Formats: sequence, C-alpha cells, structure tokens
Amino acid sequence: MLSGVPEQDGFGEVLSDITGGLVAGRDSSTLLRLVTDGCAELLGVAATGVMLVDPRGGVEVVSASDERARFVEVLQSQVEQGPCLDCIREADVVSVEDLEREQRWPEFVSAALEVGYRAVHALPLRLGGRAVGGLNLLHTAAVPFPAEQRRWAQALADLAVLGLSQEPDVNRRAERLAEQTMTALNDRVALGQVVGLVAGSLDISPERGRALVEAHASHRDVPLREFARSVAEGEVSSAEIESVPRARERPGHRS
Amino acid sequence: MDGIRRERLWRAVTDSAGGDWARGVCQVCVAVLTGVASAALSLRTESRAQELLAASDGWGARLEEEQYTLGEGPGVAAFATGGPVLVADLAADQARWPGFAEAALSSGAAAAFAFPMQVGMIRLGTLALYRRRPGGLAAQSLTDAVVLADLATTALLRQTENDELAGLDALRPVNSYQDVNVATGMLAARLRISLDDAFARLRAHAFMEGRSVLDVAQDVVQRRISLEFPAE
Repeated sequence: MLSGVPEQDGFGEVLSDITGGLVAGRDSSTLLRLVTDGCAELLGVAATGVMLVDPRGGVEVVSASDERARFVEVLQSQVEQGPCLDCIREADVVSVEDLEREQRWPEFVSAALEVGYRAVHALPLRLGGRAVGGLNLLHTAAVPFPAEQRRWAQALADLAVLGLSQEPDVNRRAERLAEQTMTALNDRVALGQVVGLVAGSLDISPERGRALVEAHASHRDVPLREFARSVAEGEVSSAEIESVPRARERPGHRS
Repeated sequence: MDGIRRERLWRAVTDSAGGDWARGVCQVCVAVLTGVASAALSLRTESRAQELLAASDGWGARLEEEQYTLGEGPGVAAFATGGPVLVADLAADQARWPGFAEAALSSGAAAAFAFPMQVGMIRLGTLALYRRRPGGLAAQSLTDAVVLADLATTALLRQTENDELAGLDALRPVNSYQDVNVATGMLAARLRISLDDAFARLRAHAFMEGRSVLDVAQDVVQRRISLEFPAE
C-alpha cells in the first residue's frame, strides 16, 4: 500500500480484530502482534516494533512485525540511545523524516540506514501519565508524519497499552519465557537422543541418522523438535523411522 | 540501593566480553567476587543433561564437566534443591560428593559455590563459582553472586525472546554436549535398554576410565569404541 492516507475500511477491520482480542482476553504478545501488523497494514509502514521499559532496568524489544534478525537488531541498537528511547523518556512523539540528515543517535541511524530504512516515527505507549514503552514505525523512504497518521498511530499505540495492562501478572511473561527456555533445552536433548537411537538401531552414522529424522519430520509436516519429542516419548517407534519416507515430497533432503 | 548495585553489575557484564552476556557474567564474577578464581554458567535439565553456556576459563569448564560425568556436585545439588549450595572447604566436606570432591581437589579447587538460575518454580541452570583456597564467600560477594545469577537468568530469558523474534533456534551454548545425548541414544538402541539406563552406563564407563563423559560420548559417536560394554 502507498504511504499516506490510511484506508478507513481497513482500519475498522484491524480495530475490531484488536478490540475483539482484548475482550476475549488474548495474551499480550498476541495483541501486540495484532497492533504491529495493523500498523504495517494501515499506515503504509515498512516495519514496526514495540519496545517496553523493563522494570528491572533498560528497555527491550517485545514485538516486531518483521521477525528477521537484522530488523530486530536495528530495534535493539536503540537500547542505549535512539528515537524510541527519547520518545519513552519524554513521553512524546519523536519523528525523523529523513535519517540521512539526522545527527543524533549515530549507532541507531547507521544500523537503520544499512538495512534500508530512511524514516522513523516513534510514539509513546502511555499509561497513567508516563511512557511504559514505545511504538516504532519505520519507512523505507523519507516521509513526514502528518497529523492524521499520527492520530491513527496513537490510537493503535493506546490499544497496545490496553493489551499490555491486561496481563494479569507481570511475572507471567518471565515464566512463559522460562518455560520456553526449558522446553528448548529439553527438546535439544530429545533430538540428540533420537538421532542416536535411529543411528544405533540402523547402524548408520549420526549424520545420516539426523538426516533421516529430519526427513521424517518434514514428511509428516511437524517441527523437528516436536517429532523428536514424540519419538523419545515412544509415541513414534524408531522402527517406523527406519526407512526413508517417500521421496520427492520435500526436495533437497540429502544430508 | 540494591537497584544501583544491580545496575552497576549489569553494566560491568555488558561492558565485558564484547556483547556475550554469559561470558560477561563469568568474567565479572571472577573480577568482583573476592577469592573466586573461576565461574561457569550451565544449563541443566531434570534428566541431568547439561550444556555449558560459558566459563571464565577452561578449568571452570572442566569442573562443570566433572559434575556431568559424576552426576553430583554443587551445581547438580543447587539445581535439584533450588537454593544456593556453599561449600567453603571441599576437603573437609568430602562425604557430601566423594567423587566430585576428589576430582575437584586434585584439579586444585578448594571451595565451590553454586546458585540456581530460576524463575518462580522453573529452574534453568546454575552459576558455579570455584576457589583455589578454602574459605566462604564474604557477605558482599554472596549478595553480588545472587544478583549475578539473577542477571544471568534475565539475560537468558531475553535471549530466548530475541531468538524467538528473530526466528532462530533458542539456546546456542558455547560448548554443546550434544554428543552425549546422541551417544545415549545409540547405546540405548544397541543394548536395547532405556535412555536413562544408557546414560547411566555411559557415565559409569567414563568414571571407570577416569575420563569425562563427553570424551567417551565422542568415542561412541565416532565408533572408536565398541558399544558393547562389559556386563554390569
């Protein structure tokens, strides 16, 4: 979509998605996703990201419309200094129409330009008179931030805050991440063991064992970790993995 | 007051080790905690698998590996209980973990401390500290160690989140012991025993030969040694 005037119909749809999510009590990360996706869709923004003040100190990236590592890194380059940090500090919009002519925040500016962004507008996520975070809107061309767009964007930012303040327990997020970390570790262990099981029972090298496990996971269209877990837990027997699944389902599975 | 100390320690972590927070935590431990010669961060699972996130030196890394081989030691205990484990004099307290105490003493360790990395009820690993001379941690060092273990936990969670955002696999430890898991699976298949039994056998074999479980696992994976160990 061209940048400029947002489309009214689209806005209604995005708005009802988000408010529907709020009413249904969706978790905050899902709501943040709806908000960042909504910004990208409605405001003609190339990418968006939400940063939050960590009560333990500093700010962190909590949501990004573009999940590529490089974009997340651009957002993170503001942890020390950047438009979003200033916007949070001042609880006010910080708008940079053309990054190439910006003198402040050299680290952020060069990181953003390198990945192809030319303009950034940062809006505060306000709660009770102070900023608890910021919404970054990034453009690939130099663009101003007209009042009307600013109003739409602030409405979405306010919805993001509503989504965040719905989280019943601040610690819940930390616990969810801890569970995820623990699961990732257990999955790694399970995958290693399953590769060994297959290699041992077929008398093949672990490398070939791994390729076979990967082929079966992709053949069944389940994530590798999930498949490994089901083998380790005995839901799928290693005998079932002994043969290569029908070829040509997924090309390029040689090793 | 505590917040300022915490902030200062975190700044020290991020200023060292070029952005590698895990290595930074270990280096700051050695620099800040009185008498501590080495520090290591390990991830641990209930099934006793281990991964090394970072260590300030090879000695600390080896002491963590000893615990993996032996299935005992301060880190294993801190993870199991969810509280700090403080052993000011390993020589005087050998009965607690005879195997680990012997290995640690002979490699020059005299005192060992471990702090769990945990969030609520969920435990993720441990921060271990080793001294070359007997002696407890001074009060300030003890407080700082708890804060550093907590900072490491926060950084680990943040890394999980960033990895997730970036679509990367979570957890990329510096020293992966993945060979141990593969070897466990290979043994289980070959000997038709459970994964738990296979892991126990792997460790027993390493212990008998005075080698680390990782060494033996690599031999198994590369088929340099027979999988058929002598019967128990």
